[in-house]
Amino acid sequence: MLTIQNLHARVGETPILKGINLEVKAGEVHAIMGPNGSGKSTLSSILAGRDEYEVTEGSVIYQDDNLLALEPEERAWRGVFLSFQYPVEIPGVKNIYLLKAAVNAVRTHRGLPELKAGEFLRLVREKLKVMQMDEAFLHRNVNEGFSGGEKNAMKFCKCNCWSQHLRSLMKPTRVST
Amino acid sequence: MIGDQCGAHTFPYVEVQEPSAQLEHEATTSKVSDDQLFYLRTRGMTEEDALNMVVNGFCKDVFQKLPMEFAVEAEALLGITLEGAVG
Repeated sequence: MLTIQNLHARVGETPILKGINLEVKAGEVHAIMGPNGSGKSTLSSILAGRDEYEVTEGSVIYQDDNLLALEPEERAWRGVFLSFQYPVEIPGVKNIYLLKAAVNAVRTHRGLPELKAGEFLRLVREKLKVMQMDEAFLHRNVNEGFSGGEKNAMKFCKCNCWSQHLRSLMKPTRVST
Repeated sequence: MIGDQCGAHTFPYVEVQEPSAQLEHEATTSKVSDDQLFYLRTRGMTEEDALNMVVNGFCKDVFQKLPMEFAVEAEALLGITLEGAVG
């Protein structure tokens, strides 16, 4: 499903990844551990398509596609999900609005019909229940004023709504609940 | 702004009749944070849609106070002006 071969990357002049190899098959869970600054976040960010990292060598193949050649949104449509270590706040944009826009953007590109308001609400309520989260979350602005735990819970809720295939989760501390 | 021949020039001008008033004037332009755009793009939105969402969210407080027909127009105008404004 995901094959990373001899991946080298740098930020500016500083090399960070020096020959990463990783093979992930469908259904597998991998934990990447290492001391601070060893490149865990860098790897995640590169998979999601952040452009401040320069890949100097190696390849990333995801479901027969050259992942590195795709735009971040194209990766999302194909099922790549990056959870942010420090979720970004977007003032004035409610969670429910972002969720719906994103779910439908992904659905459209997978050739599925967009969810109507009612269908979408049903889906979200179900996912919130799994995470034991209150519906009031939906009407708060994206990550604004969320506690660390709430941000984490929200990540999982989002991830599940998208039903993404490849999930790269940074510090997913709520995994245990 | 549309086209490469246009520009925006702001000339602050405040007329005050009250001698004891203290006031300031400020106009700034800014670019949308790369982090916000990237975040939305990793959630499947195109750069264009992402930009729209951030800016509309930012302006929402003001829009909500405008009369309905004004608000609709302002939103539509924002949609036009934002194209290609990323950098």
